[in-house]
Amino acid sequence: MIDYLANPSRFFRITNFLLPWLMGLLITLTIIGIYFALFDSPEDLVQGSAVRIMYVHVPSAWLSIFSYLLLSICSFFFIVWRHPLADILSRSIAPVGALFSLLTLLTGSIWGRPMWGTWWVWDARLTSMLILFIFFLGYIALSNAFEKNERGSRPAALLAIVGSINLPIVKFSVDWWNTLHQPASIIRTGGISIDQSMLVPLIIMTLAFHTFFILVVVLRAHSILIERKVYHLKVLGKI
Amino acid sequence: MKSKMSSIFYRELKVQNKSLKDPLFVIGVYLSLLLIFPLSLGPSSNLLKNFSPAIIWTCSLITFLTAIEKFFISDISEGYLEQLFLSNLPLSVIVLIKALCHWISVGFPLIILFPLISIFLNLPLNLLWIICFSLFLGTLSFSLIGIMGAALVLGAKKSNVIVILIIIPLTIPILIFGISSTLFCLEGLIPYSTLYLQCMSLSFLLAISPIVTSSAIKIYLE
Repeated sequence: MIDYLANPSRFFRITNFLLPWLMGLLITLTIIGIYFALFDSPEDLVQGSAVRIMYVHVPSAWLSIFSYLLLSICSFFFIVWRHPLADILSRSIAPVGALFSLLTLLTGSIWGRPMWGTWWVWDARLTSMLILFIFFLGYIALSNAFEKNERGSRPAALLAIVGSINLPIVKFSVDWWNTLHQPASIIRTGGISIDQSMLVPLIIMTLAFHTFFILVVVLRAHSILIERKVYHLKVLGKI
Repeated sequence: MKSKMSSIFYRELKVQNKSLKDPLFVIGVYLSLLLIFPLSLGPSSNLLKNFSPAIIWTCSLITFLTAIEKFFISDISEGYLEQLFLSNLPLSVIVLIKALCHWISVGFPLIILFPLISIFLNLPLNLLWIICFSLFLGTLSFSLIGIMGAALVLGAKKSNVIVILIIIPLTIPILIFGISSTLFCLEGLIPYSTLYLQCMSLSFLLAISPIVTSSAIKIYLE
């Protein structure tokens, strides 16, 4: 199935067809998620209504880690099999992942100001998320640093693979170091420790964020595909 | 094979230290950077004592990163690297020899003269050799990461800015472990755990960095 989808023109046609449906799914999930997150879920005993930032903060964090994982997998495919679509997907994922990690840091900072009393603290989870953001920036810088844009794909792919060492550090940093940030309550040994009424809006918001991620990555991939087609047509003298 | 490796090793050493003054230049760079901190923190010994591990490691990192992006450029413009690529010595071995020579030219003078430098920061002298050992582990890691960054930006525009953006996130764990080791040493305890962590990161880099660097050089040479 991956081989079938891996032809760039076929990828373009199929995703072009799926785009309106993705948009519809996104709007539905977002409306349901926001309703549950803002109105139907319980308040926290200590934090009051401010806990509702969690429904944006946690999905952004999950999605930034997921996007770096996807980035390193696509980069690995590109280095090993030299598939151009893997490179296009990596270049589409990088800015989106960078923005999600920035959003995690900003929403976490806004949440931390009333709760912890500080906008920023240099503990393990925040620092490793900041390092993840800088890794994304390094990838974007390297992939666009060359005269001919495609020359930068392979060094940037190597960089993404080397940087994937950071992922377990981000995930497990709250367990390894003494930290102010709350430890994991969902993806942990011993099962889920969060209540059902908060878990459902969280899952719906996560699905909404994932749909948004797929939508934006596909749109960016389309624009890179069209850009490359135009460049090659110009080189061939057809335009 | 062994004679090839040793001839490459001696050639690299001679190229990177054209005269006997080159190690002194490295020491000069380190001291100039070191000079900034007492002048900006004020010479009262309290702040300086608290910051001295960070000062030592930050200055050594910046000394290693000076002009690192130009590491391969002269070899490539002379065609030397292509000739080595065509020999039956694997490129990762050649890169490892170059990294070791880079460390010998930049890191080794630093560590030999470190006891003299520690006088500037008023460090207690009893565990100084352990600080030198942890500096050895850390600076060798900096060399390996620096070579990797230099190979990744071969041929890029604005490579001097991008190489810093790439290298610094990769060096952050090594800085953290090294500064913890130094902090323990300054309090009089031998930092076994952080020294193990430094050895772990060095062995990881010894395995990964030559492979990535040689792949990046092959990408450039195509």
